[in-house]
Amino acid sequence: MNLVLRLIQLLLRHRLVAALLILASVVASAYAARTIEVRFQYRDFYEYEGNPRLPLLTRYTEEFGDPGSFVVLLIESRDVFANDVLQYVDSATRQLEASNEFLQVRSLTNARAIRAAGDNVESGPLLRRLPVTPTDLARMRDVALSSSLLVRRLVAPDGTATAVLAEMRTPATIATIPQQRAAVEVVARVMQSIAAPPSVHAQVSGAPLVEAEVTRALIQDQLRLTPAVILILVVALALTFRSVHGIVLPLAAVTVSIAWTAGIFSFLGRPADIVGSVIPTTLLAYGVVDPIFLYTRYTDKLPLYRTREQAITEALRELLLPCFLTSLTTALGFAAFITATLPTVKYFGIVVSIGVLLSFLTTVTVLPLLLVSVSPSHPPESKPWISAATDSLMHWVGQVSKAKPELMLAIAASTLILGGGVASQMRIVNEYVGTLPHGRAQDSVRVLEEKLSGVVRAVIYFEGEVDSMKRPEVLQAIEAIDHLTEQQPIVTSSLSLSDLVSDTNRAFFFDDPKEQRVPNSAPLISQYLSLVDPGDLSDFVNSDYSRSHLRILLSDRGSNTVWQLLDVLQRELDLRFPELGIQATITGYGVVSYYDWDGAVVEMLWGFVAAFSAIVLAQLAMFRSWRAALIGIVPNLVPVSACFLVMRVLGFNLRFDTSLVLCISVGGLFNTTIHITARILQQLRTGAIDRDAIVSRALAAVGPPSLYTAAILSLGFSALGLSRFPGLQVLGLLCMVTLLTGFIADALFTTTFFRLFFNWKAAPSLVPGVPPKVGFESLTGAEKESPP
Amino acid sequence: MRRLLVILAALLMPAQVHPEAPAPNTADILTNVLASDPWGLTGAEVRASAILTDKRGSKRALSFVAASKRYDPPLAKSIVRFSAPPDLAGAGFLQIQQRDGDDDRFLFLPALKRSRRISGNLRSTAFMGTDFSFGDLDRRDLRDGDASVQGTEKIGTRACYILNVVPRREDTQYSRIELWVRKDNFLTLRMRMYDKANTHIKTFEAQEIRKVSGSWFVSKSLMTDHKTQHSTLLVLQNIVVNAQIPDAEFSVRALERP
Repeated sequence: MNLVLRLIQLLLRHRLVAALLILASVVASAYAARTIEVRFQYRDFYEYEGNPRLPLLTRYTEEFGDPGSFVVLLIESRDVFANDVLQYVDSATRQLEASNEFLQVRSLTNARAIRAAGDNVESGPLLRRLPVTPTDLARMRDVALSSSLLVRRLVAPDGTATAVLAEMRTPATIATIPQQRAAVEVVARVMQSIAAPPSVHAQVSGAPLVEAEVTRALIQDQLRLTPAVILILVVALALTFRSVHGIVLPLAAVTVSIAWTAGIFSFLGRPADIVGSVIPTTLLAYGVVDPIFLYTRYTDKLPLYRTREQAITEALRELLLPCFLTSLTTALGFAAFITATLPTVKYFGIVVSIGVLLSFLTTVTVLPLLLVSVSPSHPPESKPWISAATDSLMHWVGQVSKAKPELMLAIAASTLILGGGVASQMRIVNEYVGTLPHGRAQDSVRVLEEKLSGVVRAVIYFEGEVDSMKRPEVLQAIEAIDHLTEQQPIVTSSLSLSDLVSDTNRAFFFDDPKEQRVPNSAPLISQYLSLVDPGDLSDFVNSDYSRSHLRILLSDRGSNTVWQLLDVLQRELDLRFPELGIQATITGYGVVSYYDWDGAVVEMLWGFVAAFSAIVLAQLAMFRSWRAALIGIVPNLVPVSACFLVMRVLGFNLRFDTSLVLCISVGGLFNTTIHITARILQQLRTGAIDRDAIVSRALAAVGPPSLYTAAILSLGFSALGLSRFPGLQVLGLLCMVTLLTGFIADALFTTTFFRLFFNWKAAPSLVPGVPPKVGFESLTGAEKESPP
Repeated sequence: MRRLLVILAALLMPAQVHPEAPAPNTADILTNVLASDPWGLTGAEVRASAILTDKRGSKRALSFVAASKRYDPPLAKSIVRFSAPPDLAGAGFLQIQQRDGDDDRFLFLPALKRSRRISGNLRSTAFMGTDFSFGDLDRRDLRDGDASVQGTEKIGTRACYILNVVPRREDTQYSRIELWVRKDNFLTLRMRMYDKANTHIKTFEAQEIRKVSGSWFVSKSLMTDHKTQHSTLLVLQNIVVNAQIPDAEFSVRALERP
């Protein structure tokens, strides 16, 4: 620590050079940070090296493409089988076909199907020409609504909605957000350029729109949240220090650390996604805590020393180690998530961990530099009202915990038991649609789910020998799985080669519904398939008939409902296909995404346990007292229990975005515990012996600033309530609850536990290097030192 | 003297120059193209095979015999019977082209032991899973299209007209078709088809041509679909021109005959 102090003093002596270097580094970091891409793409969550589910998904997508490449023009009307509506659909289809943006366009007006027409079998497009006679319209409606290939894919079962599906030339697996946005804009322009009939309501939907809109929402969030957090911090600093000096300098120090962190983030090559969007808020909230402490201590020292350099040096001498320890434990908390499999969680942990340490660095370099360079405003003469109020509150809390230790124990135990019970019953339920921001993205997807097909995609991928998919027994097994799937409540549509064959069989048997089945004759199946256009057939089976799939679209009711469905399907697959020599595996973007999201929640839970344990061990190393380390466990589990209780009461499930509260809060939960413990041990070292007095003085000294920082952290995270993302709004609330409860738990339970369980007879020494009388005074400087 | 003058006059009179045949106009070129029968489907009996290759290189072979006869030029009747692969053996297809409206088409599936009339607009539909659509084979887009000559080019040693044809029919799958047509025999050596977005989606290349009984045929050709990266190699193995096939052979009864 002495060495570090000497380095800081060197910095202060050469402040011009230091300032220039810091300025240059900020400029360089900001320049590097301009390459950071803010984006939301689902593939960022599952496309990572080592994902065991990715090879199969890639193999499948290479064979059968990606439905995520479709921009959907959803058209609603009382009855889409009307000339004016079909004319509208046809115009849109033709214009989109003429656009270079799309590989192919499918709609009711160019859809092909094999169907019965009296004694004939009719093949080719459903629509020959417009306008259509009423008889032909009725026929077209009958054919479309009885075709398993068209219903829920191109037309709603009740005929009140239809879709024009435009497949992007660039597959979704590699399309960028600008490319997706361009494709969406083409469809939107076409929609606007055609005069819609009065009965028609049209809107654009589909995965490209969702990703483009969510990306836009992410960017808007940052433009809203970051200024909001800064405003909250400005108000908090203004209330505390009541001077521009007291607002600007701490914020300037934090800003430098955030610029450096952004520069480092840009080298990681990761996009700033929905998880990454929380990083600025997290770093601003955590990053301002230490500058507040240092600024306060500096203003207390200023009247006692001749120069600003002496005052800041003395303040640093006292606060360097404690600030480092709390920053270290906070960083350690976030760093525990480095072991996460999901890159977005891993890099969140890494970046915030680095950011917290950089924030400490700027606190002890940039802030002192600014403090000695810029004259302070004169502090207010009178004691601010807020300090008197917090002092009284701490006194009252201390009295309560001293008078009723059994009650404190009971409250702590019951909170833990209740919260633990609730937590053990909590389900992990991630949602695709529920994650989306309110507005166009979510609304368009919900309509699509309701009218046509759901957007969560699951696939059963069948692999066998050449020509195996033409075998009647294989197709009949697929048909059976298809029928089973269609009966499941969350399935909106399922489509397979058996649908194509059974539709054709029905057409060749004069539209007899009993012939809507896969025939027993292999040659007949081959002959039917030879009639289908290869472009259409390739949607169902590959050219050597060795690979096929059952494509399932689900309404989004949460990942837990998907697992229930998959259990049912897997049992059937295990019964039917092995003896046929067919490998049937479940994959699909929805399945793979949910595996990773649910897995990320589990990893965050375990990461929390690891971080919690690491911090307890760090305390053991710091204070060399296993009692002191263990005493901190219960008071820091109580806020987590409280968080689970709030989630239960408000009906929130454990999901990807809400579980981030564990990542975020673990870093801040132990700060007050460490301060209280350090203060108690410091008093013991200086010879104090009265247990109650020691604990009371520790609470009096540590309580107000800790309450203050807990309030700042909570208010900072409350800004997430302004987010457009429902999950982040909930996250903000949960962070507030957890951090505030954390302070209350420390004030009541840590002090009680120290009174009851600490070994007062032994007086462990502090970590070497800590001078006596190190501690945390109230923000009013109630415990002023006499000048040297 | 008089004899001398006659001899001198004969020597001095310029030799009679046979005038060059005028270059055919666009309409004539197209008429001649349509009059040709590159695949033997408008007046011949051919034994042929088609090798279908997908993007991974997997191959599948079809073998068939096709008989055809012009009945109202350029309209023709044709009957195709498949002999391979085994699951298609015996399947047959009868087509009677009509000037206006849909062509008459019948499909015989041996597994059903009966034929069915196939209606609907099949123009853009692939013929029996190949990369040749019905429209490619009956060339109605050329018949009902606006053609213009874009220039000339040599393919190998053969000079060709380059035609650009814009189909007039709304149900076409192409926005335009480019043809390279041999100047001497009006056989199409190359075609490039463009979709509605003017993207080049299919290419036809004649790899071997053969003259049989005075008529030229494309005995080996490759049609490639660039969207699906799928191709069909059509090989005409045996060609008999004007086989004098009776009209009764182009009937549903004949189609259903084993």
